[in-house]
Amino acid sequence: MNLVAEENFSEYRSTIVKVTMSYFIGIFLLRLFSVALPFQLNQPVLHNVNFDFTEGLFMASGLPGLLLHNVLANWIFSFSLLLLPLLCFFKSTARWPFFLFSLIFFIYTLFNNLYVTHQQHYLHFAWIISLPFLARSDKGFNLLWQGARYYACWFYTIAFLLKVINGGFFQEGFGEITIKTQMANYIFAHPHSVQTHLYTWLLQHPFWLNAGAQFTFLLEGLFLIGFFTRRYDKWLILAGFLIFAFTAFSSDVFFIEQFCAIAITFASPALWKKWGKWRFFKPLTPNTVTN
Amino acid sequence: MRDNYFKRLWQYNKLLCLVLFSFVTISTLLSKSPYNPYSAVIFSPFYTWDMFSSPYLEQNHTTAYELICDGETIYLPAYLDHKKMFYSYTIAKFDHYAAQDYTDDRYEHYKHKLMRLHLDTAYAKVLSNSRQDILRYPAWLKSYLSRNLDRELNNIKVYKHYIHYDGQGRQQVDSSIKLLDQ
Repeated sequence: MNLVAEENFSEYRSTIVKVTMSYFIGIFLLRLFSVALPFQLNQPVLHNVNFDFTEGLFMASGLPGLLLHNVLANWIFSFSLLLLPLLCFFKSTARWPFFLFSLIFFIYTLFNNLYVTHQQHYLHFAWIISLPFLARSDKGFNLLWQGARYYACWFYTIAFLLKVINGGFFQEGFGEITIKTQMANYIFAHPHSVQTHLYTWLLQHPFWLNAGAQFTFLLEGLFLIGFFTRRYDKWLILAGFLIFAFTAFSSDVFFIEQFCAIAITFASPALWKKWGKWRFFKPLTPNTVTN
Repeated sequence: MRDNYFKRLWQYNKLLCLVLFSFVTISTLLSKSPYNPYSAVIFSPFYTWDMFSSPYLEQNHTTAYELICDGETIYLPAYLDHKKMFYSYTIAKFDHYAAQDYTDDRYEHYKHKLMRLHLDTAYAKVLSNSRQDILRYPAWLKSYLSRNLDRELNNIKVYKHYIHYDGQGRQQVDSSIKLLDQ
């Protein structure tokens, strides 16, 4: 395949905008229907800065208190998360809605992690893929969009290396202990479900759990290939999906935002060309970005 | 990198290239590892995915939280994680504070860190949870669950069960404590 065509995303910028903004709308609709948007939280009383310097500054600024306790600010904040990507979808030639959305989304990641009292890092990657749209030129967009993909390759590779360096990779019963600890709440609440019976069988045959954990770690390490070639990107999307599915099964978490962001950033120009033909994602205007 | 991505980025915009390179470098330097002296610092949005990277200490004994709303045990499966995250994570947090006599043990840590940074230690109160807020948690949990489950709840209870797994991989409860009853 021609290398230049393989690396050129700028001519599909409008389609990428539309798909990515649909993804952001999807993220926040999921949270709306899950009763997890800021206006639905009934003003939580606990927070966790978690030794995060940025969270500390955010908390000390007084902004979380305003966004939480001022009804108007709370509603504007909540609905801007849904409306700004919608505005970006329909007004993809202007840059200011993208700036505003990136800023609000970043504040949201801090707000969410503060009051959910847990670091949900996958939101940071979702935020990172909003940044390439801030580029004025198509060339800048092209480079930043590819940068987001390289960043994903980097954080999965580091995740794998940390498991090797910190020793999790070499713990023989890692998969078995993961199920026992992470799924304890689920197993307790659903002692007779099919899923619990499956866990019980797997705990009787821990080889599969431990091999599964190591396989998941290796899938993370697979992303190292992404630094050298785009040829296996569809396999890396599959690897991203398997990491997501295995983690959901063994650790009771659902990083759907992360998997969808991986699928979007690893999609090839050929795929964007195909998606661009769909009526919903078809560019309304030429790719000219204004201030 | 066969297409010399960083070379092209450098040619396009040197500052942007340096920003990107610094972002990745700082994130790597802050990676959580016992071998990394800088790993105690967390600085969003710099992060590395370090969860599940260290070996577990516990082998067979663990705990399970049970949330009971008007007599019904509630626990949603993983694909509904977004619906449960604001109460599942905070219940564990509340349990931690309850074990410290309903105080936030990080207050002293924050105070110490602020002192080292020559900053006003009064901010430690802002960064940590007050005893008053911790004690308001059961009432908040009840009101949030009423909204989340879309029905007015009369009573909620949370139990913490100390459990182990027997030779057949089945959960066995060793003992239980009531965390809250509202």
